[in-house]
Amino acid sequence: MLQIQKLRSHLAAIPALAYLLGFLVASTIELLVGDLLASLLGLRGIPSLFGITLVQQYGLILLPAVIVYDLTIYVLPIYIVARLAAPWAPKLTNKMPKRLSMLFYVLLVFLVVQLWGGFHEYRILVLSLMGINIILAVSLNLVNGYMGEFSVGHAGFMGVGAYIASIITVWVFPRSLGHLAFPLALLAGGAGAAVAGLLVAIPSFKIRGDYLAIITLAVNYIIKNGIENIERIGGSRGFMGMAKLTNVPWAFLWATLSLWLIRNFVLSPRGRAVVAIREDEIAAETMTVNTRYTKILAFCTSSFFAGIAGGLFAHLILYINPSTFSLLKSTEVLVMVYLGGMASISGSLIGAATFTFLLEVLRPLEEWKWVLIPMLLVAILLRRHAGLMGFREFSFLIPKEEAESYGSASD
Amino acid sequence: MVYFLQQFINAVQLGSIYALIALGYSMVYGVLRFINFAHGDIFMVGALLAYFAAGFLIRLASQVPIPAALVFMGSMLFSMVGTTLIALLIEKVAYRPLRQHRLSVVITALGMGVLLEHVALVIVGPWRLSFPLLVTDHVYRVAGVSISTIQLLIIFVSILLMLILEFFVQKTKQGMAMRAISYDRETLPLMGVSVNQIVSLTFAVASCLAAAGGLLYGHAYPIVEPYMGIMVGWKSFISAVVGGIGSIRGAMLGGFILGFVEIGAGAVFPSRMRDLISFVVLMSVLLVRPTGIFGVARRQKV
Repeated sequence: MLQIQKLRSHLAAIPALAYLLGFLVASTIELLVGDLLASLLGLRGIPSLFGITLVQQYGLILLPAVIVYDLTIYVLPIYIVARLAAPWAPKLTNKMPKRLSMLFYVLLVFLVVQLWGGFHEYRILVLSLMGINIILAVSLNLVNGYMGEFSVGHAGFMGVGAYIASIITVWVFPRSLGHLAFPLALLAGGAGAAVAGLLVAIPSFKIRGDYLAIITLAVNYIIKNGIENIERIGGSRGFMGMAKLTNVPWAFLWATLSLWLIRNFVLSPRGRAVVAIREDEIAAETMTVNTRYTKILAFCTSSFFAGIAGGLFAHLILYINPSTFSLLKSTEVLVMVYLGGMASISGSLIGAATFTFLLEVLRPLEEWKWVLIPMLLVAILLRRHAGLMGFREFSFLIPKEEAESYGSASD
Repeated sequence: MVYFLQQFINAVQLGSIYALIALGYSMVYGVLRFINFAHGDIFMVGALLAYFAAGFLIRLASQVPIPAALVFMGSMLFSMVGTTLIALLIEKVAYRPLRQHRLSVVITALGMGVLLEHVALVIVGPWRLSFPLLVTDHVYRVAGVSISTIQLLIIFVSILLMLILEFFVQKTKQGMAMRAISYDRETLPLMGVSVNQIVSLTFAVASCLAAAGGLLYGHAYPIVEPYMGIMVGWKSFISAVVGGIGSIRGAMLGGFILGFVEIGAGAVFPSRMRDLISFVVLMSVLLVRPTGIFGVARRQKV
């Protein structure tokens, strides 16, 4: 036990930046010699998710090879580089103003992500899905966590965004424009979804709590069923013909953007009003919070980002049909939000990333996957009732002046 | 007129099943103020258990003479007991420790629903099992309207169960405790009533009704599969809300209303619009009466 504790404190002493640099080196090494090492070890191609899927599929025989691979490609380089970089890495960012250092971090993370996953078909898929899920989770957290309402229809807005964005890239813009027109299509999808968000926002003036949950449920069904009944866009057969425009850089950009924007929103006066509505709507109103305007803003922002995620999703999978955006998808997003933590940007990030990763890693287990995931969710909620990071944030996401009003996120 | 009466009977049949399940949502909500999202899947478990029990009893009946009524009662009893045990286990493991945190418990309920679906999927596989009929089906024709034994049975059994429930809640001590707990949760423990016992009892009653609903549903639409609880569960939930969640009579009424709306919409509009129409009706009801028909708006103290 003591040994483990020593190791933990030893590893925790190394700054995050040093680990990032380590991962950067490790990804570069993998790009250069990964194939060679994998074939030497008798693995079929480089293990795409650290070999966890491989071991599940082909049995424990591959375990030694996978461990050797992970040790030489990831663990050792990361540890060595992190150890070497630990003394001087913090000096890199200490002198910079906070904004610049944030930008530096984001760029570094992007570099790591792109090097690790940008050149590998399957990892591109997983990482893009991760980005999409992060957008979905953080936007749903705005309503479910910060505003304290219970929306179970997030997938509906995602569907609106997906359909509008795909229709625009397929029918409106010429295909040759490709990536140039993509952000416009996504924004249009988001705007459409935001308008659909009004379907929930307006009833929310009068209806609260569990009854509002039904409204969101109904809106999800109405959207899904509505799309099914429009023959022009394929009805229940679905819609296709999109070009594969979503890739790691786009997913990363939009995920970062939504994390940043929603973080700023909840820290802004308008965002504080959202939290005030959660705590006590009547008190908030007496304190001059315009509850109607605030609710519209929160619901529409939330569904706007869901629409963006939908657009990205459509251009990743290249085929959408109404049943993709059913309650099952909404439930998935709910799981991500509550796994990660209520009212926490960091929580949505962790929840969505963990969930996507688990879903991919456990894929060989087929139906058992969905037995394990709910068990895990319940186990986590029993220990931490608000999710892993509920009501807490990573320190870099909150302004210094407010650090003490959040719980520490170190443990 | 004949056509109308025919649809009326269909609507009552569908509505009574919705009402049975809606009661479960409503009772749990009344006692705990929490939506048991796993209830739809409890219904599915009830249907599956009834399926297995019926299969076993029918095979037994081919060797030993057992009256058909006993087979029916036996499968219903087995399904009720099994479903109750599972529901009590879920309540104990996943809901009770989190009772203070209303939102978390809703999520564990959703999780438990997914868990039940997929455990069922692992056990019975993704096939659609056809439910064995436990009664010989006659179609009676009264003044041009045809009504089958099964329809009569469904309507009779569900109305009987609702009457028993009504008696239980209104006339017995336990029922009084249930009503008291939903009236004032803080005072009840002071009166020497064990909240945990009443909660367990509520879950037991709710899952018995769901199990009966599962058996009857299996007779009306003779297919059982692991995902059958999702749609029926949500629909019953809607019924509970339309009637005013937390209110027992509201849940019964809501179930019948939804049955009528669905059958009515199916008769007038193309069938693929059916769900759309029912959800639109639901939204309109809530816009006019934000707490459902029988729901009482709790006054917020300032």
